Amino acid sequence: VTARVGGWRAWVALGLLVAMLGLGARTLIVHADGARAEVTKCPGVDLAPRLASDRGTPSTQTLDARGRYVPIVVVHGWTSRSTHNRGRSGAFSHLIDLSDTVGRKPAAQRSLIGQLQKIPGAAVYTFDYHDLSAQWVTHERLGPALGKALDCLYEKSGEKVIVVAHSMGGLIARWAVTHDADGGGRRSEHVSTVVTFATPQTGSLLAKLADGVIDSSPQLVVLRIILADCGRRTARKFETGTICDFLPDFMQAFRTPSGDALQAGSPQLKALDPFPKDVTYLDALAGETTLKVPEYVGWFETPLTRDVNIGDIVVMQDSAIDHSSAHTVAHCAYQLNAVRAQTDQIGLTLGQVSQQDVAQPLWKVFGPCFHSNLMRTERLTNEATAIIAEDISKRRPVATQQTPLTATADPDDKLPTCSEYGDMEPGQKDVVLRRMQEDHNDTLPRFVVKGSVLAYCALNPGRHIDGIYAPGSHAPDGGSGPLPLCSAWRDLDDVASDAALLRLARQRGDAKPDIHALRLVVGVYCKFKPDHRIDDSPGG
Amino acid sequence: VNARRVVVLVLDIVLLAAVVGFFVWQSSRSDAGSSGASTESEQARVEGSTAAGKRKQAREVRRALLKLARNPDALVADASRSKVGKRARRAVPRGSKVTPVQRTWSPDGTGGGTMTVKIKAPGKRQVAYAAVMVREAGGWKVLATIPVANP
Repeated sequence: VTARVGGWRAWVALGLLVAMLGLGARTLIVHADGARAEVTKCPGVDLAPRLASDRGTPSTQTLDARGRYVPIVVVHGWTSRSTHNRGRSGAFSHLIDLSDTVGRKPAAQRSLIGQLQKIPGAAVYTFDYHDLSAQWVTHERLGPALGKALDCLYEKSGEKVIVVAHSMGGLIARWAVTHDADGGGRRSEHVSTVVTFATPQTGSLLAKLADGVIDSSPQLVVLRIILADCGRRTARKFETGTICDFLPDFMQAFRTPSGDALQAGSPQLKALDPFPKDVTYLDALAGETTLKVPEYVGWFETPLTRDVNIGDIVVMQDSAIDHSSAHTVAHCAYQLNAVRAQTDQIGLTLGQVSQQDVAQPLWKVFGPCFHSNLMRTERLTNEATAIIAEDISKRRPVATQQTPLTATADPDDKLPTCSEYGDMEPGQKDVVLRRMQEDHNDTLPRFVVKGSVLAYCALNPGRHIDGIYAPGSHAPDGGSGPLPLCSAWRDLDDVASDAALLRLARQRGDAKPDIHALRLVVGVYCKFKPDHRIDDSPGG
Repeated sequence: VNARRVVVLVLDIVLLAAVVGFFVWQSSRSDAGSSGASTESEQARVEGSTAAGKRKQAREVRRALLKLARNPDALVADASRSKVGKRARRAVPRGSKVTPVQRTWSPDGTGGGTMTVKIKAPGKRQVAYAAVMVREAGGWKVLATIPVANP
């Protein structure tokens, strides 16, 4: 059309029209049953978009069964960003791809923000202060600005806000929550849960080191050795692919007003009030790296220590979990060797403790417990998700009003099979069980469901875990062919397994088979007789 | 009599001024001492960030480490004093041969750094250490060490 109307003027007009439409457009939250509600807009925060590569995340956020949503504000750490986009450079945007279990590699299906967006009734907002990272939390565009955003989100949504913060973001949240709301009243009453990743509640030892403080604590001695090794590496090569690409930047950044304040025991930190009790839950997540030194750190022949805990390298564990209601820690252990090369240069190698035969270059494996990577770590992100899902689910009037997310659910986002479930981390299992219970309006205590799944899965390893609810046969009919051996039947998927049972029932002349009973009876039989055919079961 | 009173009064004033001055001087000295570590570390950090500064520091650190054999106690950093106690001589036994390796000096970016130093104590095998050095009271001191294994 533009071509026919003629030339660049038409394109400009079309562009203006699109821009005007864009300005007037409203962002909507879509309810599972199709109901829509306008997204709250508040100064200082942006609704996080849904990224296509976050698997299983609904196309838009969903309202909960009451037709409401709970705002979740993510606040990044020092010098980082919260912005959530395809570049995934934001602190909470990287795919969850790290595990502190040696040898385990998570499937990296979605980011923490994507994971939170999966919770029915969650609306994730980002608070970004990257350009002001050098400022302390009292700066008007940090603590006070977050406070205003929390007030606004609470007022417009009518729901207590949840805050997820990394590092200094947790101190900004602490400032905001411990000050009164702009309209009067305690702001802490507008916030239900605060989840912090590695927030230096009592300061950072690294900041102390950056200020030139000389301390003989083993942590700081080892950090000095690592920094010296980094100096040697980066002198030879700009990008080393190790922690040395990050650590000196941290040290540099510590030489700012906020860096001074982040020193352990600084007057600025002491001036911050602790989180008030109105905040019902303060969940602290932290990384703890233990360096096992083969020989003693000491003073020549005088030995001092062998195991050195250096927290997440930037923040020590005791600082990160100070005053928390609960905490979860990702643990990593490495063996640190100081070695002498042929040139007599000192070099450091790092091997994972359980794989000591594989010597690694320093911090090549700096993954799951490093300060900036905690939001990529499976254990910690599962914990954060579970806590937040629980907070939101408690606000629903009754579970029976929960609407299944059929309208927006991702077809790939099935409940796991028993085998997949068995491989999950405990926190991840809880998230899955919670979702399954919600889908089935099941209000039984979690431990009962957990026990049922355990028993069911022992008998049916190839089936999906919601088989405990006996939803009927997954197969339309039994089809034809021989009955399988128990060992083969146990590994079949839902449809093939049920088809075999229907064939078995047909051969036995059972016109109305109880498929659930058959699964259990054959399951028990096959557990003990894997080399028999399933029709050899008692009475077969 | 009046002249004598004036002299006594002047002497009193001078004495008072001297006492006050002495306390002010002492006070300023202790203030400087408390921030001195930080200032000195900062100077060493800046110096170590240039190639020439790094070479100069390497020479200084080597010279300092050579004193280990003669007087190890003088090389104990203040921050390590309580941990090392009076065991400095035991840590570097009398008669030890000390060989610092100057080219291994590597600043840590916070005002200190590490240097390899080999110690051969009488009757014992030679051990190589990475010595963590810090700058204190105008000289280089050993904060801690970690044995350096052969690759």
